[in-house]
Amino acid sequence: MEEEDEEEEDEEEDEDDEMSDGKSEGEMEAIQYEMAKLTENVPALIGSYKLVDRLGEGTFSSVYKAIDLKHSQYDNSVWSPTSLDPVTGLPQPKAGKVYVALKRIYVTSSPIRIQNELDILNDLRGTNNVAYLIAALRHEDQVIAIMPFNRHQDFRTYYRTTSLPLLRSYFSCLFRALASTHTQQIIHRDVKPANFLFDTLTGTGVLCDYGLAQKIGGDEWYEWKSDCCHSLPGPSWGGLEGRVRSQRKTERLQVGTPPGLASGLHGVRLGRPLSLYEQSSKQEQEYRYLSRRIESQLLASRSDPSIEPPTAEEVEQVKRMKPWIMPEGWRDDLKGRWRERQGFLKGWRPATLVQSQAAGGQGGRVGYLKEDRRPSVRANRAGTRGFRAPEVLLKCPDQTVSIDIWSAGIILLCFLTRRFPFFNSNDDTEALAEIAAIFGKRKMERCAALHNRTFITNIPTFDAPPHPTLHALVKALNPPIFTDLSPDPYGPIPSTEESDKTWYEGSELMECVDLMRRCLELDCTKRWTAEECLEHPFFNGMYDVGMGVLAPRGSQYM
Amino acid sequence: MATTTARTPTIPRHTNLNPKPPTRINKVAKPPPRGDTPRFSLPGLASFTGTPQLPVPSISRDSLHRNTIAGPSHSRQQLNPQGMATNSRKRVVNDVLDLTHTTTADVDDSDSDEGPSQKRSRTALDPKRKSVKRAEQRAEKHDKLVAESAQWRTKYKKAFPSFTFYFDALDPLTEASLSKSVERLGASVDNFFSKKVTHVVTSRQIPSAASGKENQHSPSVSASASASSASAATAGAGGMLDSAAGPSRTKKQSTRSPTTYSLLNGQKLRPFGEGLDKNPFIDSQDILSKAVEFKLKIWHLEKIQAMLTRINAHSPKKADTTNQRNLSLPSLLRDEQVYGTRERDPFVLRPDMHYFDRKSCHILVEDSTGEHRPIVTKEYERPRKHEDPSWPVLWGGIEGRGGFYHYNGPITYERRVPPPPAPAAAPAAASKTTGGHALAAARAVDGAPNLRRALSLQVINNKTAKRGGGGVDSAISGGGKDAYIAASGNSQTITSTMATSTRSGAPSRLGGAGPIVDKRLAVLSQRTVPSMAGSSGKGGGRLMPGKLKRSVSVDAGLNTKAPPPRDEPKKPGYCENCRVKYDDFKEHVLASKHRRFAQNPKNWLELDDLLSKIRRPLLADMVAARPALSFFSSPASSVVEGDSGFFEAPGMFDCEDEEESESEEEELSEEDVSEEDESEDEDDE
Repeated sequence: MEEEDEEEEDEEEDEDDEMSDGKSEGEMEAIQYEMAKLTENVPALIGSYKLVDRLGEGTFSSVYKAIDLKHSQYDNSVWSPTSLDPVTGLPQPKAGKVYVALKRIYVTSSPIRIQNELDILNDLRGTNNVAYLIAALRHEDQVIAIMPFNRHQDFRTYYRTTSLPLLRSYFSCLFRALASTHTQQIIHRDVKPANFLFDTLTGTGVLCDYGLAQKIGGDEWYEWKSDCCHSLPGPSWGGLEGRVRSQRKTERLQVGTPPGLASGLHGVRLGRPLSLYEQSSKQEQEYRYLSRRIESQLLASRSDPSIEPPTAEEVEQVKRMKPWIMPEGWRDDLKGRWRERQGFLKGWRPATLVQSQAAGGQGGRVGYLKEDRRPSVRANRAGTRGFRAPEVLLKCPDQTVSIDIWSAGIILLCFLTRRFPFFNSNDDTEALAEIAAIFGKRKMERCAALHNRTFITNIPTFDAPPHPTLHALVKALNPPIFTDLSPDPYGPIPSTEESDKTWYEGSELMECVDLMRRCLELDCTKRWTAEECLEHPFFNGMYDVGMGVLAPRGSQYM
Repeated sequence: MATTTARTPTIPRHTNLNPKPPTRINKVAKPPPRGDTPRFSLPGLASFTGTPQLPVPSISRDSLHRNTIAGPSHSRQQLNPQGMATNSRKRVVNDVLDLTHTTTADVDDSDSDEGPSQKRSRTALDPKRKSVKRAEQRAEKHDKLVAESAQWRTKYKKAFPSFTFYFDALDPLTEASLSKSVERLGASVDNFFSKKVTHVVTSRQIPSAASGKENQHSPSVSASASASSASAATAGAGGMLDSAAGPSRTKKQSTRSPTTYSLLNGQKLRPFGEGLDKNPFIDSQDILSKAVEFKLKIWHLEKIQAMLTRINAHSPKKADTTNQRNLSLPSLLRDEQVYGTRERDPFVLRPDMHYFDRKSCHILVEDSTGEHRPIVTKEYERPRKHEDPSWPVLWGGIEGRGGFYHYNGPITYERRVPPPPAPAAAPAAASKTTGGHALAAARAVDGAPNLRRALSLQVINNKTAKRGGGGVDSAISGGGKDAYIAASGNSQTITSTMATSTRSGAPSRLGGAGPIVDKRLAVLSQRTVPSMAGSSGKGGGRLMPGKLKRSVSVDAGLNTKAPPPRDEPKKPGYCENCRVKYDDFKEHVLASKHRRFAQNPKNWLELDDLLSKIRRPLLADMVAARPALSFFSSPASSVVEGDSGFFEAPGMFDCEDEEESESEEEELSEEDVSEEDESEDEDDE
C-alpha cells in the first residue's frame, strides 16, 4: 500500500482509536510515561504547557489536554472572547487554569502533510465553528498544534436522546463550519461525530481535525480529470435556485453546454464529460460578460439619473463569481489536454449504455479480466469508513466539497434512526453495497453513470430499496421517534399510518428527515451545499442552547 | 497530494485517430478501447449523443500544423463525438483495406497474411457476422502474424542495400528526408534517372500500364492510390510523415481531383493518368512511363513510407516523432499487453475472463470508458434457505447497533415517558413546537446486547412508565406538552445516564447534573435517577470510586516521574519521510535514517515559514499603547481551589450569547470537574 506517495494517499483511512472511558491504572501509567516523554522531546513545551491527559489517539496524531501556563502573557481575545474585560476591552486575567488541546502530529507524517493541515487551519482561523489554531511549534520532526480545549461529550452518550432543538443546534453549527470551510474550496474529508466536538450543555460545536483535508482549486483544480459528468464547482451563485437554473440550462440546451458559474460548489450534472478547458473558459467568459454589464450600468447611471446604479449586493455577487485565474502557461497545457481529450470523447458513451450493452454481451454473462493490466483508478479516498460518500467509493477522481455534506447526512441518519455506527462495512466494496441496500439498484446505476462508472449487480435485495423513502426508513428503524413527536406521545409504538398522516406532513420531524434526504442525495450535484442546508426550513425552529433552554433562531444564532 | 503522474498516460488510449497501418492492418480497425464491449457496433448508438459542436481552440503552433495537414473538414470530423465518428471510422477502414494492397502486395511472401488479417478486421468491425473461430486459434494466428512481419522485416533489410532509388516529383523536403532514411538502410539514391536505378519513387499516380507483379493493382486500389498520391502531394508541405494521417481524409480530397499538382518549388505536374490520355506524345517522355518501359519498380511515396516505418519499427531511432499517436509495433504490442487484444467476438466467452457464476450474486463496478480496471468486483454466494445472504441487507438492527445488524430477538419498544402530571408554566419558547416533542428515548430492550442498558433503565422505567410488551406500548395518558418540556429539559441528564450503558463498565457520566437551570428538572433528575442524586450540584463531587482513582493517578503521575510502561505493544506503521514500513514506531523514530531526516533543516524550511505566520500574539504587543495593567495578580477570591476551577474556552461560538455563556460558564465550572476527570474519549483537537 505504501510503495509510493499516491498509492498510500489513496488508501488513507482515519480510524480514530476511541478511547474508552475507564482508563485502567496501567493505561494511565502508559499515558503518563508518554506525556513525560513528549515533554522531554519537545523542550518548547516546558514552562508553556503542562500536559495533563491524553484525549484521543488516531492514525496520524494524538491529542493531549494541557494547561496553558503562559495564558496571561498572550493575547487570547480571538479565540476566547470571554477573556476580555467587558469594560476596558482589555484582556482580563483569568482565574484558575486554562486548558488547551495539544495535537501531536506523529513524526512519521511528512512535512508536506503537516503543512497542508496547518495551512488549512491557518486559512480557517477565526471562521465559524472551526477549531481555532492558537499556535504551532516544531522541534526537529515533532510538530505540535495548539488549539482551544473544547468541552464536549462522546457522541454515543447523546445521539439516541437528542431532541430536535438540540439537533438543530448541532447541525447549524456543523453546517456553518462546513460552509466556511467549503467557500474556501477546502474539503474536510473526515466529517464524523468524533471530529465534531459538540457540547450538549451549551448547544455549540466545533469542527476539528483537518488532517485529511484537501484544498481543491489551485493545483488540485488544475488536475481535474473531467471524466465525470459533473461540472467544475463554481461559486455558489443564486443558491439552490441558481443551481437548478443552471442544471436546466445544461439539460435543455445542447448536451455539451458548460454550466457556467451558477453551478455552485457541488457542480451540476452534465450531458457528457466536459474538459476542464471548456468549463473554465466558459466560466471566464461569463464572468467577463457580467462584470462588463455591471460596469456599463454603473457608468450609465452616473450620466443618466433615471438609470439605477447596481446595488452593492449585485456588485458583490458578480465579484464572487470571479473565477480562479489560471497561472501563465497552464492554459496552453490545458489546450493540449483538451485536444487529447477529443479522442476520449469520441469513444465516450453514457455509462448506462455501456452497461446495458455489457449485459447483452456474452449471452448475459458478466465478468472481468483475470489478469487485468490496465491501471487502476487513482482517487483520493481519505476518510472514515461508513462516512464515505458514494462518489468516493466509486473512486471519482474529481470530488467536490459535497462529500462532507454526505457525511453530515450520515450523522443525521444516526441521530434519527438511533443507530451508530449505521454502516458496519469492512471495506469499500461492502460500503458501496450497503448504500445500494438502502437506495436500491436504479439509483445506484444513475449515480455511477454520473461518475463514468457502470454499476452492475444481480443481487435480488438491491432491486428495490427496502423502504421507499428515507421517511419510511426512519419510521421503520425508529418507530418511537414517531410516537414521541406526535401530538399523542403516549400512543402506540409503532404508531399507525393513519395517525401519522394527521400530523407528520409539515411537522418538524418531517423537515428534519427532509434535511437528511437533501444531504444523502446520491447524486452529488443535487446534494445541497452547506449554505443551502442552513436555509432549510428545519432550521427555522427553536434551538436548544443548552440544558433544554430553547431560543429562536434570531436571538443567539446566526 | 499531487496526482500528476497518474495523469500522463504512457500508452495511447485511442488509436483510432490515426488510421495508418504500420504493421498489422487490423490494428487500425480496432474498435475503441474495450475490446469486449462492441462499442460502435450497435446501430442505435450512433444517434445517441447527437453532434454537439465543441469549440475549436484558437490556432496555436501545434494546431497550425494540424490544419495544414487535415484541412478544416477533417478537424470537424474529429470533433463529432458519436455519429460521425462511426461513419468516418468505417470509411477509414475501407481506405485502410485498400491501402493494404499497396503496402503488402509487393512482398512476395506476405500474401498469406493479407487474407486472414483483412478478414479479421472485418469481423471485428461487424459483430453481426458471428465468427466461428475460437480464441485459441486467434492467438495462434496472431503469433504467426508477428513472426511473419519479423520475417518480412529481415528480408527487406537485407534487400535494401542493393536498391538504387530515383525520386520523382517529390518536394525537396520530403526528398531529403526520404533519401536520408533510405541511405540509412544501405540503399543508394541517384539524382539522375539512369540504368542504375532499380526503384522509382513518385508522388504521382502510377501508370496503370505498369507491368511487374508489384505494380499490378485492382482498379479500386489504383483509385485509392491516386487519391493518396493527391493527398501526398498537397500534404507534402507538412513534412514527409504527415501522410500518416492520410487515408481518412484522402477520400475528401480525391473528390476535388486537381488537374495539376503543384510542388513547393512552384513546379507543376499533371497527373500521369490524365496526361497520358490527353497528350501521349509529351507524357511518353515522362519518367514514370520510361520506368514502366524499363520495367523498373515504381513505388508510391506512401508505400515506401509505410515500408520504412515498418522496417524501422524496431530500431530505436524512429523517424516518426512528429506524429502524436505512436503506432509503432512496440507501442501497439504494449498496448495489447495492457488492454488485451481489441479484436474479438463479444459473444464468445473468453478464456482470460472470469465470469460470475450464474447462480451467484455479484457486484461489478467498472470504468465505463474501459481505461481502468474494474473498481469493484465482488461475488457473493447465493444463500441457502433460511440463511442470511452474505451481502449487506438493511435489517434495521436495534437501537445502539448498526442498521445492517441482524437482530432476531423480539423487539420491545420501551418508552421513557416524562412524568405525566407535570406542572404547567411551560417556557413560551416550547409552545411553538408542534405537539409533543418528547424525544425522551423510548428504547428497545430485552435484547441481549442491550441488557445492561435495560437494567440501568429499569430504574427510570419503574418510576415513570409501565413497560409494554410485544412491540406496542400501553398508552399512558398524560400531559403531552408539559411532559415534553420536562423531558427535553431533562434530556441532558438522562442522556448522560443513558450513556453509561453504551460502554460496558463505564462509570456513570454526568452531563447536566450540576446546577440545573430549571428547578423542576433538578427535582426530576433526583427523582428519576437515584444514582445521580448525590452528585447533582454539591461542590463538583467525584462520582464513582473509579473516577476518583483515576484522577488521583493523574495527579500523582504529574508529580512523580512516571515509571516506564511494563509492556507496550509495538506500533507498526508507515513513515512518509523515510518511505519505509516499520514494525515498531519507537524503534523507527530513533533510527539513524529518520533522525537524519528530522535534523535536516532543509526538510522543514517551508513548514517553518508557515509556523512563523501562525505565532501566538503576545499580549504585550496588544497593550503596548495602553496603560499598564497588572495582569499577573489575579484576584484570589475568584480562583476555585485545586484543579476544580478552570476556564474552558468555548472556541469560536458566534452563536453563543455572550452574557449567557458567561453565566453558564460560572455555573458549570463546578460540575465540569466531573466532566474533565472523566474525559471520556475526548479526542479534542
